[in-house]
Amino acid sequence: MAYGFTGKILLVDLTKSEILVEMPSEEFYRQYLGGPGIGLYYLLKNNKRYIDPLGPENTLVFAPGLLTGTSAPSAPRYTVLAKSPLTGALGKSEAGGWWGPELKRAGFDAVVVRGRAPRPVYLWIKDGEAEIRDASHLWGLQTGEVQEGIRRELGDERVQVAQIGPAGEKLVRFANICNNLAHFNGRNGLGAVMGSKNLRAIAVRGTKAVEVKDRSVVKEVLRWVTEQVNIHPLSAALYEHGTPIGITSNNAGGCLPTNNWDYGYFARAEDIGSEELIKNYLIRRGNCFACPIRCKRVVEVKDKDITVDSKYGGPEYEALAALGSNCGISNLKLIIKANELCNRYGLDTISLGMTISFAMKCYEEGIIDKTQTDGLDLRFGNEEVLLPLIEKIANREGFGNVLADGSRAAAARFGKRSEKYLLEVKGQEVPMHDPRVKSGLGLQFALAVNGADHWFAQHDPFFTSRESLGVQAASVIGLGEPVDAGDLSFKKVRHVLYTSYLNGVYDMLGVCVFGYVARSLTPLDKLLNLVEAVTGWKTSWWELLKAGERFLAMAKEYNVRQGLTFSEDRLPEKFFTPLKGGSRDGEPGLDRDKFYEAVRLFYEMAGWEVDTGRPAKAKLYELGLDWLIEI
Amino acid sequence: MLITVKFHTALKRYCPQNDGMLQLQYIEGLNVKKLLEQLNLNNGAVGLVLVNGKIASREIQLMKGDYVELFPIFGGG
Repeated sequence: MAYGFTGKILLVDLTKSEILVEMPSEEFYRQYLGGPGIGLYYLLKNNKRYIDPLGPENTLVFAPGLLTGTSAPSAPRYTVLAKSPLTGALGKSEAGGWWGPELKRAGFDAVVVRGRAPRPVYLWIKDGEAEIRDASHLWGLQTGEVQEGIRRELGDERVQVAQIGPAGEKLVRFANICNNLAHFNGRNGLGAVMGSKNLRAIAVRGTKAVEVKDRSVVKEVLRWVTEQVNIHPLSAALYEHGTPIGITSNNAGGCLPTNNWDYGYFARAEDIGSEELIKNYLIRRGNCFACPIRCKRVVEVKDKDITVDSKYGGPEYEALAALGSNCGISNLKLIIKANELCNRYGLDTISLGMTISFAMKCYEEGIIDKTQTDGLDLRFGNEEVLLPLIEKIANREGFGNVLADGSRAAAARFGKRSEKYLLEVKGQEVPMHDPRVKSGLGLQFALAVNGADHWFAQHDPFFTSRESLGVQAASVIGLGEPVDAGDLSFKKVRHVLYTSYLNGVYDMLGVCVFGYVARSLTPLDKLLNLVEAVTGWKTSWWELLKAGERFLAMAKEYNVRQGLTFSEDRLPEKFFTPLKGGSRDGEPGLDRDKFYEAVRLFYEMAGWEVDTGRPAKAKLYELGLDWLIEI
Repeated sequence: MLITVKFHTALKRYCPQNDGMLQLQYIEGLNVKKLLEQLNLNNGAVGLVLVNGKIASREIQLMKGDYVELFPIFGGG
């Protein structure tokens, strides 16, 4: 009897129009759990050598977590994996919402897609059955129209749709995937991979509850969370302000990216902060399946000059910063509209904002001029360019076609040593968090297997003192001692290492960082209770963290096959230079030597080889990944 | 003599006044850590503390007339 997992993996070959079902053993699930564990298993089995990310050989996996679809609180997530066309490395991005749980209820733990359909299609999965359907009539439409169109033609408003937008169809290198128009597999350009396969959407309907072993324990944890949600400071803040709370907090700390990271202080930050959003545009606080926190922002604008439809997800911190302060723009209504356009077209707000700010910096420095920008005056803060640029990029029109391949590719085209204004790792633009105020985050940016990623491990501020919420929470896994935000000693390296395993486990379970420690309320002992109650296994944090370590080792192996080396684990030079503006003006950047010593130490602690970039054989054997050595 | 404490965004709920501004009696030897204890905010909810616009560690000694700003702990949005 399968508990938690369904025991079925859907294999789809779009070239041959073939659908098969694989049924792994329980042991498989115990090793790989769900999410990126299952995803990497298939990526590695199918793709043994270097591949073209936009070619038919690229394996694309959608995999919900082990707990996803049960009533376990705040565990609605699924991971999409494939080779990324933006970085050339592993692409891995999670989303919450409603699609992951629906797939589990439809009876599948993952969908593995290979090949390329001869014409636009969508996949339709319902209660154990699947078929490939024509999507020619949907191709070119915005996400809202496609979701509506699919639900109408299938005759069921409760169908959940995971889809790309027109930007994914046009293979924009940072095109994303959404579900329910408001939850995004945002990063790494996985939308372009779907587009390259002529796969517009995966529609799912599942009417069967996911089986769990001990329902009463799951209910009890959900009850506890629901009771605590308004009391615990982190969940209460997520409800009231959402992630946009970070705008004013980071600005006060002199670490809000402003004008392509030229400054850490934006004078008009309050105009684009969470309180302005609540006062003028927030109409509801939305949530995901089985989550009582309600951190999602539902917004509406009904003005003469700008309208924004509330069915598209509202702006999170990253969008407000990347399209706001980072571009010198302080018009909240305009940023909300820009965010809506991203959701209509299917664009990652972080990479988009950073590519625009990079172009603005190059324009300000005279590296490019109006003759190259379709006449657009790309000065920082010029509100008139934001919406036209997004339209051009999404459609690969004119100057938009230059920017649609991301900032690293744009730098290569601009020349004139413009790459010094880039802020990317492995080709992915950095998110809106400054490593100069948290060294662990710097290690995360450099080491994350899928490019600069701010959730590869946990965030430094939650672990800096005895009273810190993370210190109490993580003592369960041996991290009960505080570590300074700026520490680059072995203590910080170990901290990032262990919490990268922890975050890996979270993804494999389908758990959301906004529901669990250290960023939120639910502690590790309760999560262990949930895993045992859902699956019926007698397990431990030891076994679970080993699974997280296993996923990381698989990811490293995958990256080596795609040509990545230790030298790609680096940080942009900016982060070794002083901060500018606001309360941290003049404070030094990270110590370059200490930083790279720490990166090297991470490899050695993890059991990875610096010269090959891959896990040592002994580590692969230990993790039961002997099959990777034989290939 | 008083010090003024401003509770920002999500911390407003911990302020006895609706507008998030509190005036407190200054006492000799008051530092940021003791102030947070006094306000029942040593629970990990507070991140950045500014005193007169400058970043202050928990050990910083406060003085009469100081303007203290409390921001909620934040990481990763």
